Amino acid sequence: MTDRTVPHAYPMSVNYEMCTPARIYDQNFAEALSPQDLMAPVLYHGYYIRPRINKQLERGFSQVDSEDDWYRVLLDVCQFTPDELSVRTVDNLLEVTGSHTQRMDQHGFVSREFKRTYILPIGVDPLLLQVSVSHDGIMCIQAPREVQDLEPKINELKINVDKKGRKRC
Amino acid sequence: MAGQGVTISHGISCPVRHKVHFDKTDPEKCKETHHLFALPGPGIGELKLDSKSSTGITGSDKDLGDPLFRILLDVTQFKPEDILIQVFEGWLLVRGQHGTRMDEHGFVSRSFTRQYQLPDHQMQSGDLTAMLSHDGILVVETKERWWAASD
Repeated sequence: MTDRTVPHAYPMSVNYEMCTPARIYDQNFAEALSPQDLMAPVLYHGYYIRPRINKQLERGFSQVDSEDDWYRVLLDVCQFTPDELSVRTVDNLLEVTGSHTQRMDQHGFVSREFKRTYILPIGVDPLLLQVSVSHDGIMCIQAPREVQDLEPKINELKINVDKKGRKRC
Repeated sequence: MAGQGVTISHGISCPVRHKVHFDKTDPEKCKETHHLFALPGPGIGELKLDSKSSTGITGSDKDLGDPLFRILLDVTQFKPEDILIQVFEGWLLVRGQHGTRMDEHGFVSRSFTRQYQLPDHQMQSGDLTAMLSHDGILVVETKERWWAASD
C-alpha cells in the first residue's frame, strides 16, 4: 500500500517535531505467542484487545531524546546481536539496519530484518555520532548538538513622510 | 428471489445490491468462525466445560475442541496483505514484509520469515485456516479438531 508511505507532515517542520512522542513501543516484531501469553481481554477505545505478556515488559521501544546540546536515540534491539546490526548516516538520516539469519527459538525457526531511519535534527554532526549496545540489548546512539545562537535579524524600516501632501496610491 | 438460493438477512436489512452476492452461495460458508475471536487464555478448559453444561451450545460440534496444530504469532506491525502463508513439505512458512512506512520517529521497514514444523508431513494448505485478529494476532490452525468425533 502506497498511501501509508506518504508522510503526513514534512519531517523537519515544527508541527512534526512538537507532536512526536519521545518513546514509542511495538518495535519487536514477529514474536511467537503461546495461548498462555494472552491475558483477559480489556476494552480499549471501544474495542476489545488482549493484553500480551510480551507487551507488558517495557521492551521493544524506540526513544528519541533531543535536547539543546545533545541528541540521543535509544532503540531496543534485543532480537539481534551486535554483529547483526549496522548503523550508518546518509546526509541527515540515521539508518539502523538489522538482519539475522534463520535461528531457532522455542516455537520454530525465524529470520528477521528491519531498517529504521531517524532524521537528525539541525546542529547534529553525523560524524560525531557514537553507538553502543548495552548487555540487555538496547542500542544507544548519541551525539552532541551544537547550540546555534539564533539572533534575530532586525531591520528597522525608515518611514518617509511626504510633506507636500500628495496622495499616492 | 424465491427458489434462487438463500438470502441472508441481518438485523439491518442489507441493500438489494448486496443480497445479490449472497444469492448463490451457501450461507454456511459465509459464517465466520467466531471461536477464533475469543482465543483461549489461561484456564480455558474450565470455561469450555461451563458453557457446555449450562447453556448447551447448539452449534455444530466441529467448532468445539482443540485443533491438531495451532500457532499464534504477534504481527501487530503488519497488515493482512503483507503476510504470506505457505505450506511446503511438512513445514509451515509465514512471511511478513512491509515496505518503508512512516511512523513517529522516522521511517521503518521490516520483514520476517517464520517456519514451523507441521505434525503431518502430508498436510496441505487447504487443511489450515488462518485468521488475523484486529489486535494483531495471527492464528494458523488445522481445520481438524481433536474432539470432533467424541461429541
